[in-house]
Amino acid sequence: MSKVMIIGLDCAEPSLLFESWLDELPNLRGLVEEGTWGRLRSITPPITVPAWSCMMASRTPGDLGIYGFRNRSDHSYDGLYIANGFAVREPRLWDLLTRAGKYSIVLGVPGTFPVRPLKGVLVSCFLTPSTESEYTFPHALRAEVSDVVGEYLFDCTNFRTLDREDLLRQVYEMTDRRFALADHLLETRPWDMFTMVEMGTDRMHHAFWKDMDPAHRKHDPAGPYRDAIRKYYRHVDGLVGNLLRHADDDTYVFVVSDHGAKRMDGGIRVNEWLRREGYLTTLAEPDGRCSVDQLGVDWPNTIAWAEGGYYSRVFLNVRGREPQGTVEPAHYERVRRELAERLEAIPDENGKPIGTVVHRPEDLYPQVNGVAPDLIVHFGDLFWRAVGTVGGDEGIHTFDNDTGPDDANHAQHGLLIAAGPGIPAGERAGMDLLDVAPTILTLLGQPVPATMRGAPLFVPELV
Amino acid sequence: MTALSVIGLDAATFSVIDPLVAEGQLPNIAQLLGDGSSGVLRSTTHPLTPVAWTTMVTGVNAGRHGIWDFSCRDESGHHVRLVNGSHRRAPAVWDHLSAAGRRVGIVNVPFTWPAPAVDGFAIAGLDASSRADAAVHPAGLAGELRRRFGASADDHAFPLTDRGELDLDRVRRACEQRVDVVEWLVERFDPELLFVVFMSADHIHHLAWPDWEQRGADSAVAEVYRTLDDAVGRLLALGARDAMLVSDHGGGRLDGVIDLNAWLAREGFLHWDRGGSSGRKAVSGAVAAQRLLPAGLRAQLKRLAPGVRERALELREVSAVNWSRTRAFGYGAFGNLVVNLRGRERYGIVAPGADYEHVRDDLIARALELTSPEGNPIVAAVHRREELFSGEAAAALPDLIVEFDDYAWLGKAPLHEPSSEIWSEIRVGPGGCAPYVGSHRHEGIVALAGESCRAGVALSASIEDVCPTILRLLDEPVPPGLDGRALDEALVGTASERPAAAVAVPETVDYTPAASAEVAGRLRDLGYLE
Repeated sequence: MSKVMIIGLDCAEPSLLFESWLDELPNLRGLVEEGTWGRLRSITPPITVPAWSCMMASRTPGDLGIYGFRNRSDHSYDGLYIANGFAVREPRLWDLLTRAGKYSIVLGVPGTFPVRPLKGVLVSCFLTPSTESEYTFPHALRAEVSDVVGEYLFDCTNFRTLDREDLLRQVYEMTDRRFALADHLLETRPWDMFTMVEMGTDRMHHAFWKDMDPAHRKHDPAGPYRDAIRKYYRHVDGLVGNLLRHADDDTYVFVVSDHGAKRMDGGIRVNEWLRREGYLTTLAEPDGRCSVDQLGVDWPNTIAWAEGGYYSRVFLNVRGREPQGTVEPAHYERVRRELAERLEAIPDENGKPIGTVVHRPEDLYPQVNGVAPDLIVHFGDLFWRAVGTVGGDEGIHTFDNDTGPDDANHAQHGLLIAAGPGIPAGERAGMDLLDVAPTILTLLGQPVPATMRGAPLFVPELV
Repeated sequence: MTALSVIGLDAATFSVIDPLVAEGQLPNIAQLLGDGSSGVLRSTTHPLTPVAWTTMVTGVNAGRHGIWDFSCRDESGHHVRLVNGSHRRAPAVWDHLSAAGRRVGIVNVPFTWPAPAVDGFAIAGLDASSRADAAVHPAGLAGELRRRFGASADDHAFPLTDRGELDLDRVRRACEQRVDVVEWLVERFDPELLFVVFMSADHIHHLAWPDWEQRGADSAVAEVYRTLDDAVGRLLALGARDAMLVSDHGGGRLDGVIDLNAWLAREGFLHWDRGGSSGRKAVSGAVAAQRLLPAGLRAQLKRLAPGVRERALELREVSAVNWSRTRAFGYGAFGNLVVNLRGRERYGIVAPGADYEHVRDDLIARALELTSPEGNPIVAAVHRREELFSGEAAAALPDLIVEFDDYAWLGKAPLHEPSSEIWSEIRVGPGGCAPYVGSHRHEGIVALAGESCRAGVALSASIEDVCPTILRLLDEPVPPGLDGRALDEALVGTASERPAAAVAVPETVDYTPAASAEVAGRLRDLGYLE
């Protein structure tokens, strides 16, 4: 019987893995030489929540109604919730396999806390509060996890830290424990599908990109961490090689990432810009850098406000929709179009264009559930992040992150490597994150639900 | 008008439903799945009818509700006591609803004897005895049902002829009569919650699972599902605002049966008492012989030798175990190990504390190494009781729960006769006329549809979630501290914020000897009692 092993590396960047360092990564190179590989187009926005759930369900953020970590639950001004696993209402691979009587091992896949039952075992994701929480299915697996790896580490405690030596130690410890647990589960549990996600790649990119990348404005060629990401990739390659011992001749192996990474040139202070342009009015004038919530919003005099992050979500204050809406529904499209054009025109600190792209949700998604942002903004082709604070000495541009050091942003393309019986060798263009789940189901001989948005990458007769 | 109809199909599984729905064979279930949200309902460990249904209707684990198996050992530890619904130590969903003044109708839910005194009506499930009262509430209803619908065509025994052939007409008659009865009761009582259970899918899995694997839609399994689909259709036509379809566990292949006490004897944990009691042996032998006779002859014999069964049950308690040399023994239907613990067991020899843990560790290590005759591992996990259960009733549960690989294996544990043959089988039906060829799985089903439910949500639920979900669908508060959660992802609206009232549970009552013997006979024919 065919099996599938999916090794997810959050944020793993195709240019680093395929172009820069492949020769130093013998296990991944072996898979690349044997199988199909290439860039994997992520969803928009390319962000961990909801990207992994989109991949595992082959559904868009619009289908899931999840547009980022924090989502509006309704059109009130304060109805924000963190999208946890219960927010995902679409079947993911392990739900479908459970229904078909097949076993899954699910380890650390974002969107799996709180845990829900399945046929097999599950250890929940980085959004788990702590090992005090109910983080395994079944419950009894908890004791075994601590026997095998000690305290299981969901994430680094603070990856935007200045103590980088400590961060490095934490990332390695977390990664080693997760792969040790993966090895143990593969050894002791029946499985038709194994799927894990390692967060360390993402944390390393955010923390050490500027040390590696000469194009980064804060790059220090003499810095001690120049090879930190590269060494980590090599370390992960060894751990991947160890897991491959569990892949027999009938096992398809996938290495995937949910999005890539690129240098961060800076941040656009989107709410400060909205304030200066008269879209957003606060109840008090900022005294130094602060959040909009701290000042309070003068809603009857506000047209739009935004949430920051690796991309920005911009919301219009629409009469009849928001509690104190100001934009007449009849003017909504005009206001939105004008705002989008102006956001796209924001230049860098020297007045040069940065190539911002503003999306309307209905153009991105065939179906728009829940409360979507009115505009989804990728500043400067994602070389710039969005910053939500207002006030302070800076203008529209900032080169410090309001939540701590961070020198990488997310890139639109992650990566995929697939190897196994009959899978052709060679690079492949045009692969999409939404194709992953239909591909896995097809290889496992399962029907692909009609609601899935992607298509199998490999046709069984040809495999 | 009925707000919610819960239709329970014991053992129903998507591994049968999905292929049949794909072929257009189960139109009513298909419509429910298509209109609403559905997914796997993860059952208890063990996924066994008494613990599974009771966990479903209480929303708490067996450590709190106290119902585990079809039988338990009494205070002496060596007498068999049959379990019934009154052994439940936690309120069921209908207890919460009755306390809130809501009208309910409960029909054939396993482990509901004596029929609960709800506002509305209740007909007890397979733990009801034809030789005991209180199978129906209100009491006067029993006679009226008999007058209107004739003798009860229940589904509490395998649908087998005396020669061991499947009798699918009997399945159909039982389903149709149950729906006839329910239609009349709903008309008369207008319950806000209707909860009806059918046992036939479980029975046909046990008797004919390989037939399903070989013949699919042409199999007897498929025929029973079509019969159940007709019943589902008629119940849905009663027009409740919302409907819920559930099963207590799934079903699948049975690869083999292991005699855990024979295994424990081989491993040196259990020693048989070679002397035995001649009186016990004589009666056991007579009963065993009697079970092999055709039904007609057995009926004659019963008239000639009344009470043989009753006496047999009493005497079975005198097990064939040499307790003073036994450190552990198996007990129950699906695979449990009990340490012969000093201070708890009548002739306990294992000291509490370190010795007890040592015996458990040793048993776990050895059980995990059990292999099939072909040499394949068959034990997926051995659970210490406290890993699975918590609560005041947990102490009465087995010390170790042996979870066989996918439940494709069963561990039976006869104590009344010395056995040395580890590989065993289970024969069921009158006189053991039919082999037991299917078993249970963890994966049951749940589907929700109606005005209060979202469509298209992929549910992934635990069996403890059903009780709070029912309460939410009836706009009642969910009591704090349940082990399950309401399936909010599939529901519209918000949960009630009223405080939940405290609810008491009725006292435990035991069967009379005659009723006990009758139920025990039925459970033996079902393969659940040695």
